Amino acid sequence: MRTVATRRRSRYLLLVLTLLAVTFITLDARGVPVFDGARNTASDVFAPLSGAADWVSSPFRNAWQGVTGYDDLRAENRRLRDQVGRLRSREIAEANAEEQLKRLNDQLQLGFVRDLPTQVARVTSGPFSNFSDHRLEIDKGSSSGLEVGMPVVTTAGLVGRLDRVSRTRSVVQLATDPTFVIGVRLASSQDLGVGRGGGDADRFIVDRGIELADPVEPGEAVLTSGLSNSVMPPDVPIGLVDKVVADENSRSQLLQVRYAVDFSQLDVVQVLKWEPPK
Amino acid sequence: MNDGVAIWRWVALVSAAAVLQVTLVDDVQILGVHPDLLLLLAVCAGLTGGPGRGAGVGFACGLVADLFLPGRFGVAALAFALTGYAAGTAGDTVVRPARWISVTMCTLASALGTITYAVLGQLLGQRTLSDPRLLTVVGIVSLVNGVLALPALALCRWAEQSPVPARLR
Repeated sequence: MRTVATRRRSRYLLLVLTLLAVTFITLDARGVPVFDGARNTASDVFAPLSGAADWVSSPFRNAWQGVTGYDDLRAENRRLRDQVGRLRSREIAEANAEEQLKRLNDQLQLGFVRDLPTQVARVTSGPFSNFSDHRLEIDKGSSSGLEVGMPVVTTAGLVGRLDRVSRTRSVVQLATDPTFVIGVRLASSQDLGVGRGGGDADRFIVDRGIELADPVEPGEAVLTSGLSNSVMPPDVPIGLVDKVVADENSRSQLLQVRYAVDFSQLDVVQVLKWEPPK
Repeated sequence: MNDGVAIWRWVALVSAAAVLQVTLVDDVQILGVHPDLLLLLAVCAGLTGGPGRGAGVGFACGLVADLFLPGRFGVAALAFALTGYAAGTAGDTVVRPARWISVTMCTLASALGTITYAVLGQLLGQRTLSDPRLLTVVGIVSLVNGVLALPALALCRWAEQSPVPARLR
């Protein structure tokens, strides 16, 4: 059993550590750069260790994921079969399906990259937190010319933007994050609005700027707006409108957008070396 | 007890746990949740070394975790220090230690630590407590930590240089 003096000393220690932690939290909230520096240094220090461990453990991890992800794979397989079936029936039913598919493909290919310089990067790890933090890490950093704020895409569309950049690693804020807010444009009507991450990997929400009178149909493509102060370049596909809900109070429409990118399958991404105009 | 040697052993343990967590354990997921070795170490430090050691090691583990976690720097340090202290205080109340008590306390303290982190994260603007997966995260982290409790406690006794029967086995 502890003596009274030891207990008292433990309480003082806890008090000191609590005050220290609160000080760190406060300084970080005020933007003191030392904490970002420490995090970046840690990323760089652990990068080679992670790479080596990744190489050594990949057969075991694949086996583990094969065991634990078997049900998910079956569900995914079933979903894909259903999707293929629906696409086939649609192709038969609609005479212009081929043309529509071509247009869709044209829209979703990397045409939006245009002549922007890009950096291909590999996703090195998923989230470090068990809670939904809408972040992932890629294996390129400032030594490859990357900077905070640069857009991250795949051939399908928008993935997110760089949130933190160290010398050899970067952290991407995914477009699923509810704090990820960007200007959007509807492809056919060119209506402008503002959207944000829906908090899960299924829905992007456009909740401002699309008025009740604006014609919006499910299936319409949603792109980044690229207005003068936008944090994204124009015409990067975000996804297709899945559901339209009229909000009489705000006299606007709320659009639920199905992401063009499958966030569960991210492996290789491209960082657009694009910076917002100053 | 030679406190200097003990501190270096704790430093080695925390470093090893951090390397294992970041390089391997983060990829070993059950229902999308990975074990939390640093929280386990904080809890076991409290159970073997008492509230003071639990708070100190928990704070160090939390600081390392904060280097990789999103959100404000210091949240995990605070949560793990409080958890380590609580585990140490709870460990002090055990008169006749037994393995099943150690495992149960480790499981419960890990659940407490995860919830404490979620509460603090939510207060500071993250969506941790309101995360729909909260119960899954708490359940899996605490169960896995319960499974790993005995080897982790053995390592902590080595670091603490403590003879077994004085505290929880």
